[in-house]
Amino acid sequence: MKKRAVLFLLPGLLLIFILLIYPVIRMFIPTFTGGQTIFSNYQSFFSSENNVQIIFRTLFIAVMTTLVTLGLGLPTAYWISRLSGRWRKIISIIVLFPILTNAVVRNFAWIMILGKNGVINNFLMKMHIISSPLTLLYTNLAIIIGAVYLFLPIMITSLVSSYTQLNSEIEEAAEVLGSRPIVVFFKIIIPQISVGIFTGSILVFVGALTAYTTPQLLGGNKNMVLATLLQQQSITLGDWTSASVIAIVLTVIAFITMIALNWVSKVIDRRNSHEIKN
Amino acid sequence: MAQIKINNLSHSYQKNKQILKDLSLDIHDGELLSILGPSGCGKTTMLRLISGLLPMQEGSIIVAGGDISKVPVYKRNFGMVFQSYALFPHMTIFQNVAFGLKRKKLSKSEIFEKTLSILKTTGLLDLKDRMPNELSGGQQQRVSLARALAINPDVLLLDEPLSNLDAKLRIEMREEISRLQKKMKMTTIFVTHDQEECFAISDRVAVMNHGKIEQLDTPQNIFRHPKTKFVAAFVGYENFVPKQWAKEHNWRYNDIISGSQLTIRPEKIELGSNENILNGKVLVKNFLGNNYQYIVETELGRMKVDTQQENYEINDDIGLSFSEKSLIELEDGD
Repeated sequence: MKKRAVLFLLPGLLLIFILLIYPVIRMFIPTFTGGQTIFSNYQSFFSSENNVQIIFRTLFIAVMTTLVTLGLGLPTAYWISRLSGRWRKIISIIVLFPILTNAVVRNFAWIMILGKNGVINNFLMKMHIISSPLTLLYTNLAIIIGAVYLFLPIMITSLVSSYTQLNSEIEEAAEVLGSRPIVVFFKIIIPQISVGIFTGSILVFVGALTAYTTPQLLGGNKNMVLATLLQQQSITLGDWTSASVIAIVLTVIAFITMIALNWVSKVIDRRNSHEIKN
Repeated sequence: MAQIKINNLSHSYQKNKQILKDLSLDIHDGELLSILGPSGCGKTTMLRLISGLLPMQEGSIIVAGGDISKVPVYKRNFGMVFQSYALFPHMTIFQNVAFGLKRKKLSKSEIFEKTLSILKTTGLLDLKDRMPNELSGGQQQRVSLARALAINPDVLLLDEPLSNLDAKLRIEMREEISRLQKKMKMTTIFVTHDQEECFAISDRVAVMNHGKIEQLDTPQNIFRHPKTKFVAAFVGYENFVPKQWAKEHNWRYNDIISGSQLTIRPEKIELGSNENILNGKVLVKNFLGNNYQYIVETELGRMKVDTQQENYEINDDIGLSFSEKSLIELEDGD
């Protein structure tokens, strides 16, 4: 029976090897060859001030996007989780709606809103709050706004599923013991949903870190991020080794963040660490 | 320590769904008062109104002379034990018990000492560094009780605290509650649907039905002299006899109580004696451990009889007898 079970797994395993593991290895190897030492390609990548700036900009955008979606998502998801069954479904569908539209369409909408003659600038000019249009488009802010819009549904969904698992008697117990609502939220609710915060943050952070369309359309050529740089190196310049280096830098950043966030969530919620100890 | 006066409390969830109807109740200082009733009778709603977890609609609640109707939950200084224990899953037992003291802005050493002292009193000292999910149900409920008592509350509210425990732990825990309540002379309201556990530890019992208190008395009086059919049925009086029928049998009644029903406990009826009062046929025979229970079809309807006698079988014709003294007069409820 066991041998037969392996046979069933074989097609899948083969696909994973051919389409995932082999290409990743093929991407890895060239980044360590061709130079004087095995790290030559990395040294030259990091020695460019422009590249380092792009790394920091990418990190800044990913971190800001995660923080803003978290800040907006925590109260919204709490509210959704407290709705009655039917309303919860309706609101959840509305929240997920942006995901159902095409990324290019979504970003063009933001171009219309943020542009020099966009909705915001027109409004502010008409109200005589500003005399000349603000530069909103093709900035880091524009990328963050677009990314928040893109990833907020993911954050909310992951938080709602955590919130709905809470036992409301635990919050009531804290209230009876003398906690104001704000204390209940930070001392009782947040630690209990740390798994949802962790999952949502990872998904949003990695998503924002590797997003291509949004920074390309809303950031323009001045505000490059690692994903747009990667595209330029590979497709425009045909420098596949440099592109591979960028891909690996992205992967490493994602991994480090995941491990760090996992550690933080365990410090906040000691339940998990205890389970591991036992 | 406080006396509680509940005045004309009414509460409805939707327009036509009134849960509490003009309910008034006085709870003495240091007393353990139980609220006994079936689910849906409004007992939990009443407890939540007293705790402040549910905003009040009508009436007032006076604790130690002060109206608390508009005081928010977190300023009431009450202790509450929940059916689901409701321990903070991300905190150790020590942190759980210390939580209420920390909200009081006491000094660190004071919090530490008070927490240790209540852990000692409740026998939880060895468990202080464990997490709630590492404890058994009985231990968790003990922590929940310790956590409520740690803040030295004016009133202790218990919301069906024993119903998630198994039979043996239930007895152990209710004795623990009783011991601590007497020791700390704490005014306590205990909500339950289990008459045995509430009779065992209460000073007084309020039997509730449809948002009203049907009878408020000591456990002994409620057990021996239930006032209405509902209370009688709830505390184990299974058989009801019309007063008219008793009169026809020339039994004298003073008619002090205006009701039309009499009641009798199953164990007060005898089977097959010489002076049969009622004739019937055995419908069901159940072995209950200490005795047998027969359900007998008679001219007065089905009668339940608990007896040691085991020599009757289903469909046997049988005579029932009981003494005049065993019948208890009931008021007509609404």
